[in-house]
Amino acid sequence: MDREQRLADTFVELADTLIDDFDIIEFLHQLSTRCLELLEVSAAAIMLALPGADLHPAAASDDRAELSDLLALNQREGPALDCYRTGSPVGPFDVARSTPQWPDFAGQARRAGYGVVCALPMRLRREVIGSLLLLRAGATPLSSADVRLAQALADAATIGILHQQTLRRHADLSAQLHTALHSRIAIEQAKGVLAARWGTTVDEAFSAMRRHARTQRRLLSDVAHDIVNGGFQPDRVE
Amino acid sequence: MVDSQVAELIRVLVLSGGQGPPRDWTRLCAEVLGVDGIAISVASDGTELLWFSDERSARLDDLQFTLGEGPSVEAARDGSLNLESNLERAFGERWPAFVPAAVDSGVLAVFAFPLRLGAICCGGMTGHRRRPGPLGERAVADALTIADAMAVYLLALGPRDTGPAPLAAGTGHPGGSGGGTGRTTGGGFGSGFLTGFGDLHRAEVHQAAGISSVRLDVPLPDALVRLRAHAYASDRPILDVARDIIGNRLQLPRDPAS
Repeated sequence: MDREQRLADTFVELADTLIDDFDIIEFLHQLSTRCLELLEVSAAAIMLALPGADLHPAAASDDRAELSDLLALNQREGPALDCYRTGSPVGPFDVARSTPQWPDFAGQARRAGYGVVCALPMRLRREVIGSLLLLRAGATPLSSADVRLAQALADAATIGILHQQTLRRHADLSAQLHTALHSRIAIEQAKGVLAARWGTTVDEAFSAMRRHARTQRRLLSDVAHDIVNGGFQPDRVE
Repeated sequence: MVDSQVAELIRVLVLSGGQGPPRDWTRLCAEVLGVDGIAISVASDGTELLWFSDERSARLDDLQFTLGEGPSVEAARDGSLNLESNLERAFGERWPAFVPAAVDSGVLAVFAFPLRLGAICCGGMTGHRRRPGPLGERAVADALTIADAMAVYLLALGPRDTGPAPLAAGTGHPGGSGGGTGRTTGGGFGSGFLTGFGDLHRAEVHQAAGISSVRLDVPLPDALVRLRAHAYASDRPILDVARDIIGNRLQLPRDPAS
């Protein structure tokens, strides 16, 4: 497969998130692998900060201990954290020369064998959800074409993730609405079921249900479900 | 650009909080869209009618509930947009029972909009007219805007307070709608439970299904199907049939074939 075809496939892959069994870690792992295939880099990792959580390593192109240590360190200091905080690209730069602001990170990156580092924001408009960290062995700088492509991959992945989250949120809300409606219907059905069993009016049946729910501190809808599904009968109100 | 009347409708909808939009809102909505009536229903196993501007709109929804088919049912269930500007020309295979019954009841155009949020469809909004004729481009655009706002509003009405019913609460009075039918006020559930729905328009249908399931010794879904079948076969509104069952004036036959 030629590079152009691979690129096109990768973008389609990153957009294909609206599926039932979406797994964000698998998705990000794929992104890091594609970075290695398409860019002149030695390692790629994604640091993620989904709402309510701090920035943490989510996926990497390999699981060498040196890389995971470097990512763990990036939760405290380093280009991935700065990039996430500012929402702007950090680097690429030469680790040996221009990292006085992150002494620990520079030392650890050198020991791991990385000479060039670049962090790109995972960002859609004002929402920043993390950063993509690119690492390269040796001192040959990253081409600007590679940086641009990496940013495009990060953008596509971010849109995919945000779409997926929106869909899931909507699906949750929809399920809640459905549950709520069913509870209401069950209450009406239970009134009828009790009234028919007892030969009373539905109002009397409802009074008994309400009294039971109140004295037993249970939800009326739960009492109704028990009556409709389990043959439960509350005490009659005389 | 959103018309200022549409913007005002949406503003009132949002401000109505968990109580549901007032009846005036649905009337104004019908007026703005240039239809004779409007109904909003949510998808469940069938559909539940929540709010409507007029009796004819309610009957049109009841009819589709009874038959299990129609433009509103499809909009709410499948998320499809169904603009039927001339029902007299829509006779055919799509809604073989609904179309003639709707025309008989004096409805000649139906415009059903799905209530969608992204890939989720939670209900439908239906406008009708007693005369044939297409809905204008502007009205369709306005209806879609209102439907979007309605979908967001509805999805925010899911249960939030699900704690146990407090001892002191739950003072809702049954009745109040005449005939001792057991309809309840939305506040009667004691736990802040779903006040947003207000009364379910077809509450009595579900009560009657409960009664019939015990009397006929069949599961609830079967009882509801028989109730619908009886309403259809006897050509009566399903709510009238339900009230007769609740009031002991009618008992569904034990075997629907007999």
